[in-house]
Order: sequence, then C-alpha cells, then structure tokens
Amino acid sequence: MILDLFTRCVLISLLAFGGGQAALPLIERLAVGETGWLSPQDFATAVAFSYVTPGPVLIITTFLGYQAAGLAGACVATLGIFLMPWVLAATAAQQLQRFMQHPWLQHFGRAAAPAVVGLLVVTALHLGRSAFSSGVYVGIAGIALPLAMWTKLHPILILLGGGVIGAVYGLLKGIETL
Amino acid sequence: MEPRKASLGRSAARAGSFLTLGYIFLRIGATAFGGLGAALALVERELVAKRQWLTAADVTEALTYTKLLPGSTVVQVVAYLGYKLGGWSGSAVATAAFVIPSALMMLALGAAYVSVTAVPAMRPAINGLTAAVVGLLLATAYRLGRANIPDRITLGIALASIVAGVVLGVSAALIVVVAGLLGVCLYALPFRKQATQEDTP
Repeated sequence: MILDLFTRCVLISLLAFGGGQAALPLIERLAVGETGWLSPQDFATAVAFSYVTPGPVLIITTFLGYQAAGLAGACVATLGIFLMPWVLAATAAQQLQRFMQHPWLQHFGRAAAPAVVGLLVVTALHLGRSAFSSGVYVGIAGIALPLAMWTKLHPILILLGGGVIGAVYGLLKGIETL
Repeated sequence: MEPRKASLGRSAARAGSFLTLGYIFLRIGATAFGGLGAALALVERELVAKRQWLTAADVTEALTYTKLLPGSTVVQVVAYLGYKLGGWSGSAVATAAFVIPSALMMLALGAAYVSVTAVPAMRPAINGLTAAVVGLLLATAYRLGRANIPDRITLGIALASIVAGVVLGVSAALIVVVAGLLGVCLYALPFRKQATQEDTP
C-alpha cells in the first residue's frame, strides 16, 4: 500500500508536464477512479484546500496520502510527488550554468520566455473559469489586479481580502435565500 | 556572462549558512498563498529586491526552464534558484523548507477534515480567494511581460501561446518547446554568420 502510493505519486509527477495544475486530472484518476481512496466530493474539497494553503497545488497529495494511509502515507505521497521534479530542476540549473553560453539556448530562452508569460495568463483564465460563478468574483479579480500591479500591498493581504469578500458574499446570499 | 557568474559566486557566499537560506524559504513557503503567482512575488521581494541575492533575470530563467520539466513548477523554481544559491545542498534545503509549511497545514486540514467542510461559508471564500489569485497571476504576467516582451515578435509569441493554451488546449510543455524552437529558427538561422561572429570569443 505504502510502496504503491509512492510509485504512483512518482509516476504522476513525471507526467505532470505543464506544472502542478496539469497533474490534478491524473491525481483525480488515481485517488477517485482507480483506488477509491477519496470520494469525488472529498477530491473537490482537497483541491480547494490545496488552493487555500500556501505553496504548491500538488500538496494535495499530502491530504490524499493521509486519507489513504495515515501519517506515513502523507509523508510518502509528499516525498513521491516532489522527489523527481526536484532532481530534474536542480540538474537543469546545474547543466544550464555550463551550457547557457550556447547562442541557440539563448535564442530558445528569448522566445520561450514570452510563451511562459502567455501561459501564466492561460492559468489565470483556467482558475477564473472555475471561480467566476458570479460577478462578485470577477470584481474581486478586477480589484486584485491593479492592487498587485501598482501598490506594494503584500500578496497575502490581497488574497485574504478576496477570501473575506467571498465569505461575506456567501453569507449574504445564504441569508437572502432564507 | 562572466560578470554574472561572478555575482552568483558572491551571492552564494553572502548567503552564508544554509540556515538562513532554509529560514527564508520556510517563510516564503508558509506565506505563498496562491501557488506560483504568490511565490514568485515573494521571491522577487525577498531575494531580488530586498537582499539582491538573485536578479529578476534569474527568476525568469528559472521559470522558463522549469516550465519545460514535468512536476510542480513552483517547487521547481525554488529548487532551481536554491541550486543557484548553494548547489545541490542549497537546492535540497530550499525545496524542503518551502514544502514543509504547506505539508503541515495540509496534514492538519486532513485531520480536521470533517469539521472544516461543515462550515458553509467555505465555498464562496475559496472562490473569492481563487478570484484574487487570478488578479495576482495577471499582475505577475504583466511584470514578467514587461521584462521579456521587448518587440513585436515576442509579443506575437506570447499572444499565440495564450490562444494555443486557451482555445486549442495545447499542453504547456509543448507550447514552451515550440516557442523556443521558433526562437532558434528566427534569431539564429537567418543571421547565422553574424551570430557566430559575435559569439566566438
């Protein structure tokens, strides 16, 4: 069970081209479809938790591992999901210091960098698609953008503000329906 | 390239002990609410603006090349920058320190799972949080865009990658690889002689 959890997490991490969010469908298939470690509702809540906590979205595997096999499961799943990506990233940093001088690599980076900027926009739109269930949430994003762009306000405060406005809106809506 | 290498060596020495490095990334890991966008903002603040151990170019470089690799991008950016600051051990310390706070929080949430989901205000609060993340990500894209999109060609690449990602649903890794190869063709091949003359020492 523990070994199974570890190898599955390592495998998912190696297929997660495009970052942590790209791996969420793979984790859903593992946790809900293949093993039944989580119910679909549990998985949705786990995704929400992984957004609420700081750090990587793939920290969802800590939750998954805990639900599947307790504390040991949480440790093993977390280690499994981050081990190979860490090795790959550090290796890339090591090798690039040696090969960065090659003009082709610089040209590659010069054109790949704007593509990465574009992909950040894509991630933002993906998140927006799931969160913008009401105009209020579009408004929150609309306020957060200029605050993050032109003020020195700490990102946490902006995020907390968004969460609080959402909670208040949820409460007001709850009162209305009553 | 040479002066940059030297500045990296200095910054590694200035980093002094891995204890400081670990402490910094422990703090970033504990406060990077909202994943990649927030973590990048905090790294920019802590390590580029405040301590000047890294340059904005280092952060962009880390982001550009780790996007090509499978796995959590935010963890890999930390691993990459950790390597730049202190080699393999620096990378291990930075990465572990960055992941530990959120892993502990997730563990606590896992343990308190039932009572947390009973709170009805949770869903709209998370939606509000996600909406704020959208704003933060777009601001990060704007800042990185100003640094990395100097002309029409690069602007075209950025716009094309948005279209490819949103409309066509092309995977992020593929987009980055294709854009990079396009860059090699555009910048290197037509001016091959000129480029090789410039780059040979």
